[in-house]
Amino acid sequence: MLAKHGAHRRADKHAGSLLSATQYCALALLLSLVLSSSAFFLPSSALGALIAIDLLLVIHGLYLKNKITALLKVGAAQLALTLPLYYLLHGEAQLLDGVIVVLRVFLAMLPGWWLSSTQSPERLGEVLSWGLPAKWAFVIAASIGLLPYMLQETKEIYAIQCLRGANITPKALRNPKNWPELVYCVLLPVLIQLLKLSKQMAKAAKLRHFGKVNKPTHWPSSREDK
Amino acid sequence: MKSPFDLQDALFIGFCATLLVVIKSMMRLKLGLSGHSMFLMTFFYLVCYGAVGRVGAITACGFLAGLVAMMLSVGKGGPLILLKFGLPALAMDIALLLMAGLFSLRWQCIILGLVGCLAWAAKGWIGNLLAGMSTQVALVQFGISFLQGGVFAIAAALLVPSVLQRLHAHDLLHRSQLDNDK
Amino acid sequence: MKLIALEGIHFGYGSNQSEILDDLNLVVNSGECHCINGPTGCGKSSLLHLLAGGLSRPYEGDVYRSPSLLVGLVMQDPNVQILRQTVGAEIAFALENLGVDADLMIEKVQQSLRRVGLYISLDTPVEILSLGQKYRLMMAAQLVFKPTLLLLDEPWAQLDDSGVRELQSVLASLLDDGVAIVMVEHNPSAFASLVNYLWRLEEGALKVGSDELLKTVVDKQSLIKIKRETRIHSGESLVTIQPLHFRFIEQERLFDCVETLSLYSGEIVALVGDNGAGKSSLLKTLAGIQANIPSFPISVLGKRPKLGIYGAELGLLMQRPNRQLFEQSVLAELQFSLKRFKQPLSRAEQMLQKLEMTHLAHCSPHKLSYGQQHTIALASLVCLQPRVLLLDDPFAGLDRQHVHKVVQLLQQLSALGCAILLTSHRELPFLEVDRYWLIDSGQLRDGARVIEQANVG
Repeated sequence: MLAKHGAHRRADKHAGSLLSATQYCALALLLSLVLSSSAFFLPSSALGALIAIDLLLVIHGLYLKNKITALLKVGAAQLALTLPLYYLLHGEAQLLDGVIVVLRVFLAMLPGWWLSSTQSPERLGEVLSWGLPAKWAFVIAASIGLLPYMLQETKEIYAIQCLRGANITPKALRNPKNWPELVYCVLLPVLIQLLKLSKQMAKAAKLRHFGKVNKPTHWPSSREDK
Repeated sequence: MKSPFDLQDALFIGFCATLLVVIKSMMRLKLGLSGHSMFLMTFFYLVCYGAVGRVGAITACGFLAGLVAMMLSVGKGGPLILLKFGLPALAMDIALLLMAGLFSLRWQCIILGLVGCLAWAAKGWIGNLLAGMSTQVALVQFGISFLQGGVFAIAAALLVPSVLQRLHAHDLLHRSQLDNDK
Repeated sequence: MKLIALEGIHFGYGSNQSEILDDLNLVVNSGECHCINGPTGCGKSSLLHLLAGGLSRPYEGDVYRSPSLLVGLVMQDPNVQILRQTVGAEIAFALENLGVDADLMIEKVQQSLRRVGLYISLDTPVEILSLGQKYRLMMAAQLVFKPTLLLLDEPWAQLDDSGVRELQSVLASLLDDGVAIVMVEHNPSAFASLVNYLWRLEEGALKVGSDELLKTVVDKQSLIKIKRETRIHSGESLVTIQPLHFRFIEQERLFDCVETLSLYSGEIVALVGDNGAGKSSLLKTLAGIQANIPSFPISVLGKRPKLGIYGAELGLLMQRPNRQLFEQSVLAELQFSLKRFKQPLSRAEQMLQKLEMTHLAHCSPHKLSYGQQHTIALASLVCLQPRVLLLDDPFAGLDRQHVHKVVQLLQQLSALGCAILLTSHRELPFLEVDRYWLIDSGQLRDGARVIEQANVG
């Protein structure tokens, strides 16, 4: 599927040039999927090779100034949870097995980190929406486009309700008793806004002939690439 | 695939998915608790179902959330994040098909929350087993995440019916699950 | 040429409510400009959507649509109609859906962009445009598919005066080209030079509107009314803004405050300036909820503003105040803050009595009209009897009846000694204020006298 689309895209571009950024991204996605799944299925003896490959990804990611601390933290937390359990249930002898299991899980996550830190989200989105029906591709684009607006709305509604005396300041929220207040005062009005917004946007899109033809054309957004 | 949702519903599902991802990423910075993501997931999935009133809404919301999370590079999972959001959603929708109309809205929400949580914890369980973890350790870890997630999922599931009822009382749901109940 | 004709239209929500449109007739020919006026909630929006062919509920009556009819509708708030991130993609949306070839798009998109007088790159991100520019962008997004009838929903309320002027010239050229325009507007005078037919929508039918609506308002609109008796500041200064450069962190400054400004107890001060001048941000800063700003020499109630330190002493009404409503009844909405701040709950009922809205006490606030919601949101703050009340554009989109109620609430509060600061992108003809502050060409000043230029313009 991906390959077919890739070939199609290439035909659009001038022949002879290297892979377009989008095709490169699709390949990266494929690579990270393969590497992730091989972390589960390779025999332990082959793990060394996988580590070597993943190390290259780490270097690439770090070279592009991405932080890996969050991922390391997750790995450490996994280790801290798994090793004591192995010790308790299986004794000291099998501790190494525990380490290998955690290593495999960690190696499965690493390509994902590399992918999201080296590929721009828009490109990923483009690749991912190749197989999507036009309506859902539009929905995703619209949702992401509206994200700043939604965030702003949420923040403002939160601030308004704080000023109105709702018990939802960060301090008050340490007590789970106040969580329903957050849901009713903030999340509910936000949902109400979203309901209204989806109605209005659907109307606006339909008035601009959304869904009229089965195969809508596309605005040439990358015309600067030439 | 002809989608059964009209544009308005599809947009609402998309907004919910996006908001879910964003709030989740903001919360992760503040709370170190694992399992809290089940709260947000359960809440938004059930609201989607309640507001759109169709089986399939939850799955749509789940996979959209996964896609959006990837596009916003939230989370470290890469493509795995699709499963993280998608699997619980799929499980909830399947459960819905099986128990259509058997329970009151409140119990339906709780059961769905637990089913989602089960799928969420099972995803980690299967992953661990695939990675070669011993059955006992994997089971204990599964139990821990199911318990942690379950508390949050039930908390969210308990809030959803009253949120839906309020939306309904305000005349804001043009076609909702509540109508079917009455 | 006759484009569309409505004959004997009946339309209503639900069977037991009275009809919104009741035997309505309207004929629109190409090149005509119709303006429809009427109180909020009288069915103007339903009429627009009926013309656009997008009314979701069934109606009775005959609608003739000419084969050449193609309708474009610009809804009130541009922000909720924007579907894409860049100017080019936004305008091309309709072309995509009509299956226009990608190679032809750029030319068409550029044409319609020029048509509305926007000379910006097609790759400009939509978010950096001003509200007036966004409004024209939405026009361009309609014009690109060459509609023969353009519908506009309350353009005046959305735009500041320069935005209105820009819109006027665009509309004039469209009319010249034979495009028909129907606008719903409760301030028709702003478009007096264009309107051929002025209607009043009353009791579900269109009646010829009086020419008065088109004329007299002009000089009333451009005035700020200053109270006759000059008050000596007997009260204490509750808000003080010392000279500062107002800006967000790592951004260019929005405006400079060149002199020390004070707001005294019992005063009503208007903060006037164009859209995007920084009025809302200043109000949020005073309330302590504006993020991403450096520390400013501002003092409110003797303290540096911060969220959560004023309790019931400070109230802020943001734009579109109906966002804050969430309770199940109007009464509960009014009581919410009273409960949280442990004040007498009886004030809520008294407030409803004063507003003559007791009959709505047990209604869902979301079923009320826009004006009623607005009033309830304000009333929920006034109940608290704050010492400082900040209001962001509190008259936006209100009809006369609710403007009157808001004025009444503000005057009562002022009499209790509350200091009130309210913003407006227009002058306020209906509320007497003590003073006004002006943000103009990047400077915030105390306006000593009524602006002479306003009368000229």
